[in-house]
Amino acid sequence: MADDKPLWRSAFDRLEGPLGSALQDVTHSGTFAEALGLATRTRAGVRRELERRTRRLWHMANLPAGSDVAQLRRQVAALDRELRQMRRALEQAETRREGNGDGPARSRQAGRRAQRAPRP
Amino acid sequence: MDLLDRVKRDVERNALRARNGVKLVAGIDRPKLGQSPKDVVWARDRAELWHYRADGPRRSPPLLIVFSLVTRSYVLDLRPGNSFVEHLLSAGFDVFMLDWGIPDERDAGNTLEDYADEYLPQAVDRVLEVADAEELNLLGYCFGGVLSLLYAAHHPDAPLRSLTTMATPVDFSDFGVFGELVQEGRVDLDTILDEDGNVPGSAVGESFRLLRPTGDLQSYATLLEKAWNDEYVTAYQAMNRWANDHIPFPGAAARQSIEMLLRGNGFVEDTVRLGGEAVSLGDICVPYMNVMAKRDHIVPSQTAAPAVSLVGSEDKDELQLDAGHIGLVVGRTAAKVTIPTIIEFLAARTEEAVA
Repeated sequence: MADDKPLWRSAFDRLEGPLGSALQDVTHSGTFAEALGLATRTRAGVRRELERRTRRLWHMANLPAGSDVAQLRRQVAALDRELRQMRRALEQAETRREGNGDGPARSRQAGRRAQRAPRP
Repeated sequence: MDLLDRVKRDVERNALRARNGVKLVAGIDRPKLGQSPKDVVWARDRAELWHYRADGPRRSPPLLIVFSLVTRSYVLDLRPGNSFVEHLLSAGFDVFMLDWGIPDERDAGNTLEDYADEYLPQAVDRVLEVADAEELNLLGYCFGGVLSLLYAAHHPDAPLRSLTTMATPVDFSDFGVFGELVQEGRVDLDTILDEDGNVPGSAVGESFRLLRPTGDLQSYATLLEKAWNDEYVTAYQAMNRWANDHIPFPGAAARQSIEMLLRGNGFVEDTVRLGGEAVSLGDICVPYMNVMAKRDHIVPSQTAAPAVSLVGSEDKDELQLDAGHIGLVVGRTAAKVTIPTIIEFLAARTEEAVA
């Protein structure tokens, strides 16, 4: 019921309406996007510099820094990706071999693809 | 209502508010989400294909739901009684969901090709195998719709009976905040990427918050007002958890989406390329339905609407509903209007339940 709305809520809505749309105009503007771009670049720069300095400190104590661990994780991830690509290539080769009649039925989609007339 | 009744009601409500407030602050009695029973029938890397259990005969062909990359899929199976999946199961569909999991550093190099040309075709194959079917109905939600469109367009011979996209952006020429942010010389993706090489979930959440800067404030006010209502509080807890549960966006896919889809407006300009091959929505020929929400602040309807004219299908339709982005699948409007309409479309493209 409309009259059930508490007074504070009606007051909030009266304030939030114009404030919300004004803020929305700001966040949807090109100027805001440019400012946000500048802020993210600055933050990234500060983070890089901070990381460089703390890394140097850790290395002085002959200890690995967080960025070293992150670097290792990225390398493992790259290896993981290579393995995935190799697995896919193997699967595709297997599917092709099976399609040539050397094995059990191939994947449904692969079968359909083979039946499809070549596209002009 | 006389003054005494009103005072009595307010006292009761304030007591309930206090009780529910303690529950909220302490984080106790949280509703369990994504509870429909399901089996993982395929998994690759972080992606999983779920098959929802259901009693009785199912409609054929099966339905595969492809969810977005940046939000959690349990919103489609939020709570018993408020679950899109539950509605589909009740209507007799054989429901599968492709969930992308939570990307980590191993997924940072994932491109759109990985999703549309590798994971999705494999998941489709597995659905057909599990359901013992020759084709399926595909339903993509939000960015999952983008992936579904890419898949259907790049694989015109895909075994699809129909394709449905919901709240899916295709025309990025007027994409609001996101469009402004990704313009050249503004927010540089490299300054956002985390150590893993992904766009962190927090950045995804913050960008959504920019769309409605006072949105959180508004929902807190509504919570304070309705905190006496147990049902509202439970629904709030569920939705609030989902709304703050963003997951990282794989860096390579984000870069490709920005360059090809947002800046290049690839779908509209017909310049999308996957694996070096041109991909055109005009190549999609299966029955198609585009579902949009009129009050969608994330994917405004002008961003989603052109899909129906871009897709090449002869049998195509669009549905514009008076709902918000997530209101398409969650809440009362969804239960009364959206979901029955989608079910009607899909039911027309399935055979009656078979034993």
